[in-house]
Amino acid sequence: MQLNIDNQTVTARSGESVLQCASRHGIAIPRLCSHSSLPAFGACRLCIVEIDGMRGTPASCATPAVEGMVVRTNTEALRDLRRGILQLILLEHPSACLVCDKHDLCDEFRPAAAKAGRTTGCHTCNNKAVCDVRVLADELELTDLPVPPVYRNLPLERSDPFIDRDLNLCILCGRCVRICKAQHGRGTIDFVGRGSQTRIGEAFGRSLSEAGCRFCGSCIDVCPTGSLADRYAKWYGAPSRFTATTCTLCDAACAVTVHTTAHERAVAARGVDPRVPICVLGRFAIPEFLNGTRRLKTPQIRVGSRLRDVPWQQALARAAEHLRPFVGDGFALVCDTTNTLEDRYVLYKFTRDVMRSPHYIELQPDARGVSRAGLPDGVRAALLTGPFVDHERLQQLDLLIVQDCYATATSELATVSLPVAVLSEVAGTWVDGDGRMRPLRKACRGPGTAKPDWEIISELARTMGETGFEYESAATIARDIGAVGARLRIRQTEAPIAATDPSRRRTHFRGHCLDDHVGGLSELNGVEPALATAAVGG
Amino acid sequence: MATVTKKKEIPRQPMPEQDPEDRVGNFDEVPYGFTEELATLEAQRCILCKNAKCVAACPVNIDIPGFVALIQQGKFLEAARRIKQDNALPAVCGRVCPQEEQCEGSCVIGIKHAPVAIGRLERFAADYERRMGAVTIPEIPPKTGKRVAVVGAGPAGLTVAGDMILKGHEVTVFEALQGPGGVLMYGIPEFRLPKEIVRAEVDYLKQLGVEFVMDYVVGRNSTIRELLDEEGYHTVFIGTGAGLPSFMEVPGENLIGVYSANEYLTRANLMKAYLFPEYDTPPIRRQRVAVIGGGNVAMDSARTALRLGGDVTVVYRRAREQMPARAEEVHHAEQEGVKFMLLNNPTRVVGDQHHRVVGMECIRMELGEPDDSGRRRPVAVKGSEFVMDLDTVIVAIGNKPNPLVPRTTPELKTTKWGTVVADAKTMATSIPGVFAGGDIVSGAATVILAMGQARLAARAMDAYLHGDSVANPAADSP
Amino acid sequence: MFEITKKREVAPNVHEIVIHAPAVAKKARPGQFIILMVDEKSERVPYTLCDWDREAGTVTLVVQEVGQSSRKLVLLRAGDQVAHLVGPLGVPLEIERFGTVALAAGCYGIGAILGIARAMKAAGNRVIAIVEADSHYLHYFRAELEAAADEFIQTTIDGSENIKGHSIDVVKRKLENGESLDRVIAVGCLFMMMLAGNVTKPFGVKTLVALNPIMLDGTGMCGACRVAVGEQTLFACVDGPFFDAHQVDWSELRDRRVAYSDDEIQAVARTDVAAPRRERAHARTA
Repeated sequence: MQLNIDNQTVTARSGESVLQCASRHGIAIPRLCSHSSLPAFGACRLCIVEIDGMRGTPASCATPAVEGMVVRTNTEALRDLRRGILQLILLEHPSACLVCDKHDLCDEFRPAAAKAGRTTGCHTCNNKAVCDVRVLADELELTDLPVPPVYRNLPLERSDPFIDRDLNLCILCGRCVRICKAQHGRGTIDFVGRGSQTRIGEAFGRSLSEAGCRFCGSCIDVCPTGSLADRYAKWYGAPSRFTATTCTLCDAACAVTVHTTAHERAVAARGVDPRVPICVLGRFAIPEFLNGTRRLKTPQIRVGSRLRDVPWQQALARAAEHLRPFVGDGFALVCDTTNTLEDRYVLYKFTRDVMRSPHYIELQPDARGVSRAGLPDGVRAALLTGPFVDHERLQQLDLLIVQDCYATATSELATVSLPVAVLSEVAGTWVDGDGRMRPLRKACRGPGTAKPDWEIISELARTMGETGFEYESAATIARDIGAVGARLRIRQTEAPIAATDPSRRRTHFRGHCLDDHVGGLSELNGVEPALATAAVGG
Repeated sequence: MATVTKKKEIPRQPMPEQDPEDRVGNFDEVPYGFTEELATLEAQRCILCKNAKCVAACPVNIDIPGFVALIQQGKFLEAARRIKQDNALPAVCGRVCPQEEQCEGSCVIGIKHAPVAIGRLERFAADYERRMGAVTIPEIPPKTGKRVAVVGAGPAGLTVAGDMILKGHEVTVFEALQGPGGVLMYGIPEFRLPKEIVRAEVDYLKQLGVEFVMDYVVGRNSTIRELLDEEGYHTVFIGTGAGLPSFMEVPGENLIGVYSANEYLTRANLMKAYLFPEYDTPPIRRQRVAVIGGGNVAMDSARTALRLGGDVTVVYRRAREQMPARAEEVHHAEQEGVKFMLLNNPTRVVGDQHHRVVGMECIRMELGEPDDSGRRRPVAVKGSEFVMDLDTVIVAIGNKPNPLVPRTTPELKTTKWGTVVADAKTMATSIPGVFAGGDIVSGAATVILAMGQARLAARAMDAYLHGDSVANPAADSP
Repeated sequence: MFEITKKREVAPNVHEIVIHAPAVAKKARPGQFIILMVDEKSERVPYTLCDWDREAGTVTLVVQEVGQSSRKLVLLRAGDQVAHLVGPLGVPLEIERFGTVALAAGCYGIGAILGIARAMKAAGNRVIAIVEADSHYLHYFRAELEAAADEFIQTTIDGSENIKGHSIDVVKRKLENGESLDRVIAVGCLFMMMLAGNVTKPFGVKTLVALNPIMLDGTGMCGACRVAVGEQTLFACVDGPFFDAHQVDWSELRDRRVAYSDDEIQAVARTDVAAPRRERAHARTA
């Protein structure tokens, strides 16, 4: 069907709203409560338009497009109304910076926000760099507030893991409530109270954890203000890069977008399909795990009782030297399927062709992500990619080489310890629980001189004089092994099990307990028992 | 007991140390200290001279042959006590004194062979006593009823406190920082002087009865005058040190990335920034570091920077022989991988549009005629400027006396360099009853010199408290 | 250890903290500051001495939560102790009969000018206190400042109360109207203090600003707080903290103040993960 929007003829699809139709044609209509992945709500009234033959100013988000409609989206009268609406919305939102006459100069002088506890203006708001309200205020040329705003002085909610909430910034657009219902089929959060006392909260004043929140972070993703914030990422401002990759913390292999700063530090990961939530691990665990202070950063070799930092060449030479006498079935290599296909191929090739050993042990983590193995009798030397084997058995070995991401009791026993880049620090191909191939893309740098597993093993093989390991990139290996056609798992038909059932969520990655490296997880897992009994119907 | 000939055949015992490649990864002490066997063997080398030159060369005249003989006999605890008759902080001095210029520099064995390792033996005895938990509290004479105020809990102040408490006086030490030790705490790194030792020495003083008041700034919370006139102290010792950092005064010195050595070391040593984020103060974790200077402070800064992951170059405008740093520190720095660019002088620091250091321009120097200090003066070689790629510059070119007490004590006579004028024998200042010692008098110097002056001051202060008049030198001097 | 005797949030994110520190209270003078460590692992952080009671032996600080260290402090309550507090540091403000003195303040500065206003008035000056806040609910100490000053003017950036705009706009209008101001003292964020200098410079009015560089020891021995003022490099802790606004290199100071922002964000991000337990305990027993 055909419509006329701002003297432009456009074609609308069946069931589309006027707002959706306009958006598709590049006609921008201001909005706050509308979100592309949520059904229309009509709460903010910013998207009002004039439609010939319709009384007043209908909300374009809630008005179905009809053949022959004549719509005006940007008249002076509309702009005035919208400005007035925004002013009313800002009655309970710290908005002084928006109308400050020194706004531009101040922004130029000190662009970054101060890390305030209570936000009292843009200059102390975690959302400053990416705020929808700021953009809107600019667009609508807001210069004053005719009615004095109030500050409700609601307590800051900072006692839940991962999510900080400052309800004094909330403009009651309802996006968080709606997405929680849409993704989880129930409302962990909802509008609480009435009239001027309305705020977002949980029933009976419970905390998020107590109310059964899954910490999928979708509410943060859709919040237009700084009210809901990712505690770890909130003060980094606008990310400088977004990389779509696959989360490998469990075999659901959800697609995630990793946000990195100018220093190539990963600060957040978000789900890609707004119709389903991702689990707390994919959403919150990745950056903290990657940025832990105890990450292995440099290669080390054992000298006496200590591990000493050395350059890569020296570490690999030492490893090669120690490995040579163990060529044969006295050697075992243990890895698990958190490694990419490329890693595993090279690890296997190394075990078979360089060490000529039958003991390539590739572990499949159990439902909780734990990978453990014993070593065959007769194995005297081992290379491990994680703490998979019992300490006592390792102490019996004549040679232990460890390549891993974090220092552990296992790496403390090693003769050579090599730092590994993991998760979104590497590119490659991975296989999900359904056997489909998923791509990994490199989003950030590993710590120090850490490298991907395949690269370490290839260099080790070359140091041992082997040919056939001249791989320049994961892509080269992928071609060799026919790992092509990997597609991101963008569209999901249902939420991954870990996002809806915490008891089915993994606790380990590559042999490491995630609780040890992600503070919010140990918090969350401490509260888990209450969750099972506190489910709120919705 | 070996004969003299046999003694001379015993080589100087090597000090067991952390491997250079290991130790750049940690802040643990580098020399492990002598074992009992090593100590006894090293002690054998001493021929126990009658008029020992080493004693005269020691700023506090420790009875060196006396304590070494005791070590020879295996009487380690007694050796420690013998040292403590003259030196209140032997565990500290054994580690930080420039022995090569003092006792060991005069050792007669050192004429033909390596000198007796007096410093290491002193350290051994002190550590032994501490580890055995055998530190004894000597008998303290009856209370005199006199009150002593010590300003500054650095080496000078601690020494005065230790001496005066043993004379029966009541002693209170005031310190501006949050913990005692002064330069022993904030300046000298953990890997040269473990803070546990400084704390043990301070605890010992507390056990003797010395009162410590932290977070107290004399000059602000009380003036010297108020201490004497209103707060009931009978005598005051000023040991406020030389903590005011000198900068090169070249363009670009305020860029982010230029630090005084004091700031750099205080972050690391006092505020334990190398344990960030367990400790809240952020460290300076940079990659390409230049340290300007050639003294102990420069070496300490360079070796700290190494341990924090940096690629470190020391830039010094004179030659190696003229570096004032302790020989062992330069040696350790070299072993650990610190690079040296000698006969080079910075002319300016270069920054980016965010005021961050990106480099430093230097000019090459060559040695010309000697200056007043007797050292050959460095002269710039025209046209030899070049720019080093850097992100950090640590300025370790010296410190000036702390100005606060002089500024707030008008009758205190000072020199034009800001040091307090004090009589060479009594350390008395221009104010009756007020004495001073350490860097505030001598300018930036060493721990042992501070202690030596503190010793003199304590003796004079004790006499003063007993009613003897003490000459006021500043009254006579111009 | 120094006990907190009173603590309240006087405006959103602005906390008044009264601490028992007799040695500091005894000697405190307007314009000076203290350095505080919440616990033995804390940073050494400077805070302005807003007020003091020599008899009770207490000092009053006004603190905004803007990072990990200030957060640690504002989470304490009356009865808690802070590990270290040293002061008064810095050079006291020159207090003389200048004539008419205008004090412009915003944020924590509103608290900071209280002691200054009283002293200036006692010295025979006509004191004009002009305080600004983003919005009406961010003002505090109104009664105290009204009592301390001869003229008290409040502005709000959003116009929600009294005059719309910045405190320094009021100063500018006064100068443009020919009002004679002998001295202007401005305390607030860096941006505000820079504006103060820009406004008064053409009128040649001596303007002092309380600079706030990062500090480490606060007693003059490290140089972390060095600021470029005219041709000189001075230490804010022993030569300041008040300096001539017309000579300050503002962009250098602004950049030096954010030298550790990555570490600071990491600190808040990492240690905040432990905050839930603390906050929950705090909320339950509050």
